[in-house]
Amino acid sequence: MNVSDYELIERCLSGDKNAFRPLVEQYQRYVFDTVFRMVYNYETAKDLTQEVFMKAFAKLHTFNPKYTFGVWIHRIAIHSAIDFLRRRKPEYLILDNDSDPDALPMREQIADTSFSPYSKVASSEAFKRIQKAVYELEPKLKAVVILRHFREMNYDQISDVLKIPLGTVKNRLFRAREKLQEVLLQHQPSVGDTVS
Amino acid sequence: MKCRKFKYWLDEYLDGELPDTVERDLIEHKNSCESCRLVFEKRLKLFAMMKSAKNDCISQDLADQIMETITAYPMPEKIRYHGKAILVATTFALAVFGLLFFTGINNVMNGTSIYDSAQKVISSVHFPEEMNRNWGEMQGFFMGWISASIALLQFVASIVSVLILEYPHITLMVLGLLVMAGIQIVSGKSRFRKSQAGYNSKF
Repeated sequence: MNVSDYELIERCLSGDKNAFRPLVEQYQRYVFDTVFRMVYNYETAKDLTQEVFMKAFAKLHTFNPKYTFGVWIHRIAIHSAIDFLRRRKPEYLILDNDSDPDALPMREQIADTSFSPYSKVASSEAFKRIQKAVYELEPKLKAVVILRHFREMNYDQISDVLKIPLGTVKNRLFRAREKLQEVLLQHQPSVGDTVS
Repeated sequence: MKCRKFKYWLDEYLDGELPDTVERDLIEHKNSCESCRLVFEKRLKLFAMMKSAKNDCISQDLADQIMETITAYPMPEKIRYHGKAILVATTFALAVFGLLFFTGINNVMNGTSIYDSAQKVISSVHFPEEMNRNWGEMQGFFMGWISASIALLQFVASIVSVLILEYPHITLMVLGLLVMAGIQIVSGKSRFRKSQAGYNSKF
């Protein structure tokens, strides 16, 4: 594991609360991005990011040096986001319901270019389509996609974060990609069309 | 390599997780099979799209807010030592309970009645006859109490064993409830300790 992270954790456990600050500063960006992609709401992502670090601090004594702090904090982040989505499911599931635009805060955020927490370069329509397609995956599939494609974790790390076997990681990634491909590439001219 | 296997290995290949030997077979198959080549190109396109969306969010710095809340937290290391102590105590308690349980079962199997066990408890207590006794008497006195304690525990274990054999569902349910109550008491004390130290979070 990263030696400096380990030392910081040891210092925290020895009573130095300020040793936790470098860990927050180093990982908050990744945690926020992961959580945001899971819930697609800026304010919620902010609250959840804080909650993730609070939980991490409160449970620091349970940290297993077998994993890196990055893997461990992402485990807390993903589970917090999934718990949140489970609690808020009814509100978040109406994303596709066009009949009631007032009840679609998420859709508004995705459509509103001034909202994007990403850089302006990344605010293109294509970018937002991908974000929306990922958001609409079921939480378990969304988690593996985010960890693989946006956090660039390998299969072992994803398996550690989600505490699932390698085979399940591969299976979920395959299912998620099939769905993404169906949504993102269905309106595009396929290679097969040009060949025939 | 068959087309079905090609689809199975494709994601691992694009993720860079495929062993070299399989990778060679996969590329050979892609070059020789038109439909699998199309599958490959479609998947490659998806990977490129996902890569284009990999910009991290721009978020405000939350470190100050997080550290401010953390200041009100109890130190996690205290809980660590409590956790270890609870683990050791639980293991010890389970070991003692297991030993006594099997002793009790053994008593019941050997036909020792609960009444006999109770007699054994009473007979193992040696009360001193005089106050000015010598060391040997003192030893006998303490040994008597120790053997009485063990006999008492065996007596309790015999009762539990009889109950388990006669009314297994009810007894196991009651024991389960007792264990759950014990856990609740321990965790309740832990939560209390946190709240005493200013633990005011929602989780």
